[in-house]
Amino acid sequence: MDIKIPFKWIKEYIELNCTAKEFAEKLSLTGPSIEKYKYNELIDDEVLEIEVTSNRVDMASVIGLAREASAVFGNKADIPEFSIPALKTEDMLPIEVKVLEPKLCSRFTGIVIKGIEVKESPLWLKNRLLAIGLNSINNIVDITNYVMVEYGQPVHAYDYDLISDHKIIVRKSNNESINVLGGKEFKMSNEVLVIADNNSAIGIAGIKGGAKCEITNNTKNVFIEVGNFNAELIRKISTKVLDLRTDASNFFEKGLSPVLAMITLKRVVELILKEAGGVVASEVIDIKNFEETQKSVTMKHSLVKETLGVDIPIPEIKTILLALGFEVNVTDEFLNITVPYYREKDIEFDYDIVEEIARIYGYEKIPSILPATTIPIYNVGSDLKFEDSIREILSGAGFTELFTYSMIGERELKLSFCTEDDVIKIDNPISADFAFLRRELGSTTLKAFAENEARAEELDFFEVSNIYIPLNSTDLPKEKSTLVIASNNKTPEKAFLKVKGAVEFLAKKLGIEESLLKFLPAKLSPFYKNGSSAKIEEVGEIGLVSSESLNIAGAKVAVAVAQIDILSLFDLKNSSQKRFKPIPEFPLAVRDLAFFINNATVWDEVKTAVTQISGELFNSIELFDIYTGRGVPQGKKGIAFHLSLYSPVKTLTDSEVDLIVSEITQKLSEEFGAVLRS
Amino acid sequence: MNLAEYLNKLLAIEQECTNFLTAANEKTEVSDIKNKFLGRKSELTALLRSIVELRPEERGEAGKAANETRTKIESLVNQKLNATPENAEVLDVSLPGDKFSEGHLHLTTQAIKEITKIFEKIGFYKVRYPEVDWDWYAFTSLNFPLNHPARDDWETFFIDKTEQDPKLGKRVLTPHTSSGQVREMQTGRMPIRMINISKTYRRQIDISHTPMFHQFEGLLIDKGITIAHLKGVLDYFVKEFFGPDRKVRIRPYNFRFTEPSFEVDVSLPDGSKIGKNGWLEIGGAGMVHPKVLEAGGIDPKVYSGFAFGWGVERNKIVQKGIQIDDIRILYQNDIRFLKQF
Repeated sequence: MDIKIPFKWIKEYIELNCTAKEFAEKLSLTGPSIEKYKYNELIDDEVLEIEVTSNRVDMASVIGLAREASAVFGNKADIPEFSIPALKTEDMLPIEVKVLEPKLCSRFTGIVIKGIEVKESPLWLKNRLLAIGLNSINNIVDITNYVMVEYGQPVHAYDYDLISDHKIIVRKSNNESINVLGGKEFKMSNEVLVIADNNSAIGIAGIKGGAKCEITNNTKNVFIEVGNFNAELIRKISTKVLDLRTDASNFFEKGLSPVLAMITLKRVVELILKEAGGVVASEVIDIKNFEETQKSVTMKHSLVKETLGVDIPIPEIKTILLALGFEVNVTDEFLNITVPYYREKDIEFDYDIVEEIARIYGYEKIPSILPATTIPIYNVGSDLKFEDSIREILSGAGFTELFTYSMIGERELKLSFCTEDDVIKIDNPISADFAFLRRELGSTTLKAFAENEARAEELDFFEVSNIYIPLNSTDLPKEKSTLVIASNNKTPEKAFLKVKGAVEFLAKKLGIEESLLKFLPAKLSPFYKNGSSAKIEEVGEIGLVSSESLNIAGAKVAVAVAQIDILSLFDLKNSSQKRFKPIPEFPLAVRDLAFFINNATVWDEVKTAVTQISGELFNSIELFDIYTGRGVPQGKKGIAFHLSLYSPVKTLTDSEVDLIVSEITQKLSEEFGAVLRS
Repeated sequence: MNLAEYLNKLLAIEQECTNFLTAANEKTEVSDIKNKFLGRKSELTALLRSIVELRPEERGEAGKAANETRTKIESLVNQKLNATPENAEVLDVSLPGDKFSEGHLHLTTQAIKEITKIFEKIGFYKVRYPEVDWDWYAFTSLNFPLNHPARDDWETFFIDKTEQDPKLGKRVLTPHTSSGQVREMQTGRMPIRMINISKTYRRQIDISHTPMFHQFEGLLIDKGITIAHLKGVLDYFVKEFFGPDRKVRIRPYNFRFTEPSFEVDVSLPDGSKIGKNGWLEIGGAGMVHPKVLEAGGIDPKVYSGFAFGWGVERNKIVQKGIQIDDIRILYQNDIRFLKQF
């Protein structure tokens, strides 16, 4: 929690000869983080801005900081004890308090003061409140706020005469409404704890007071309440049920000690009597629903060295703990430590004591040693290394890595032709655009193309990320690491071949056997253009993006996408063997062949035919030209390829090669209407 | 002049020519040499003319020798011409070189690579844990009792409205990589020297927060591990990642899953505009809470350890000294941003 405290206020409780800067630096190293300190002209003082961790609400006050400072600086904090003057019978006014929910209200202290004068607060009080960002209202209300800041315990004042029948009941709401101070109305369900009089609710317990018993200039008698309310309840009511967070709820939800209530009441009474006059008009009300026991923790001395790596002698430990307010009893190797009331909530066991010792001792005094324990070797992370190689290879080949959000919205669902049932839904999304977890990477990649296509000539992207496949409601979704490779191009075929080329290049560099990477024409989801897509056997899919998806995404340039399951690719790699091919002893016979073939013939068919006919002499085939311009007969296209043949036992003669070429020509002519190109 | 002198002069010319040719580098030089030794004004031509000064019976041999010398020199010159490259052509060396296809790794990947390498050097292994996990792993096992206010600090995304499992609770998008701690412990491996760098999710979006980001988590558990060892590892990391002149310090803080807990600061170079008083907070750390060890099936009386973690993006940006005003640019995937790295 973040609080503002003027430095001089702290110095009223502990003698300090340092500057605010030194104070801030020193305390930040041992406890509360003091981020800033600003000089305030009104109070001629530095106002410290402090971050107190939520487990140390005992430090979120002036006296809490003074106590902390006394341990850090070594001076003793002087926190006075006040006492409430005895009630004179003739001053007595009737008041009755009942707590119907003892589990939710561990302590209720209060008192009536009569004959007060409500007026403007004295300047010293007013200015201190203004300096820390609180409004000044009148002396009574200001005192309650002042003491809250000073002691870290919320206080509330009611106009006594407006309390119906002078009866106060702490009870659950019966679905009633309340107008709080400031005017807003709240409907309180029966989970809410209220402070009520005999008539109605006069306050939301632990959160905010009601307007009914507001202190005004006409108030003559006040009832002061200093209570302790259940942390979990206050948190639930303020954050979830009523959505009303106040300074008071901020304190209670962190868990205050009920011991603090009485200490605080005494201070409030002292200030009111001093600044507003009046006399005590009731007995001190103290309804206790807690055991006043003191917590003890036993710590073995050796635990300090075991945790810090440094041995701190017992006398030094004792000094530190005493300065922090603990009581210490040493027996042999053990320290029996009694915990002061304000540390009841955060000190649970011996390690908490070690932390107290260590932070005051000074973390900077602990040495810095690299652990020299055994270095473990486990067979883990090889799939992560595989992913790293994929990134290196693709970025090296000229592709740019994307990092898109795992969360998607309706539009991406539409784009990828998925429905809400196909994906994991987030119950509390930050916006509709991030309401689901994606189960494919195509949609978010396509979005990146649409947004970037105006900014660059050609785009080549890739991404390695998880996709999330829902299983059932009692299982975690399946997270599959997926690779997407995509390119755009004004000529769709070029985009496709670029992505296919990237996949082939990647596979090669990863050591996947060429024969294991198969592209099989297939109809995929409508995300892909029909007739322009293929399955990559065992590992994924590739294709041109359909016009419909391009339109939804707002992309104008054709995009080709490949999506690959990384673990499957990893399997492929692991089942590939890297074989060394001996350097050919005899020269290759290379021929360039060019044909006009039927338009409908696909390259794979030509390749298969040529390979088959070449038989054992086949070495390689490489397509280098496809031609459909002038000079090509109707219904045909021109292709040209290098064919290389090899015999391991001799140099092939021209006539042997010619024979094969003529067989090829014949076969291609029969099957695919091939005609030799001149 | 007599025959002997004549023959000696021929030898001298041949030798001189050979020397010149050896020193020649360019074809133009060789042409010049040819001219010098075979041209009209050459010494050899002069010698040939002066054959009449010899006695008639000596003229035959002298003439034969002179012609041999001429043939020899012609042969040497031709040989040299063939062996000499064309004159160096003038090339505009200021022309820009060929452009290669430039690919890019995302800044986050670069950061992850770097951090991984630093920790692998000191014997850490990298693993990965689910991004969608059970509430038990994200909170309960890490010493966050149900309904504890500290849970709210994490601004968690929930998959389920209600508990799907009596022990495991709801499914969440993990808000921190710490949810991997107990999973790692449950593998039974010991000692543990793990790093886990993964996507994490929090319900925050503004100039310094993206709802999806990356966190780094380190966990070391063994016998006899102390705060001194934690300091050692943090010190090592800070020097490797930020610079050998940098220092690290730890300050008290509060996490449910560590005790003691710390915030970790790195020292800043003089004149730095960021941070406070010359220090910048980079993340959190602490000694693993005994309750967390127990949740992972490890006996806290025998083993101890520490955990440390931080946001990957922010520290990378600080390290590179990049002026990024709005961190959301990192995941907007604008090519003009991506291609700068």
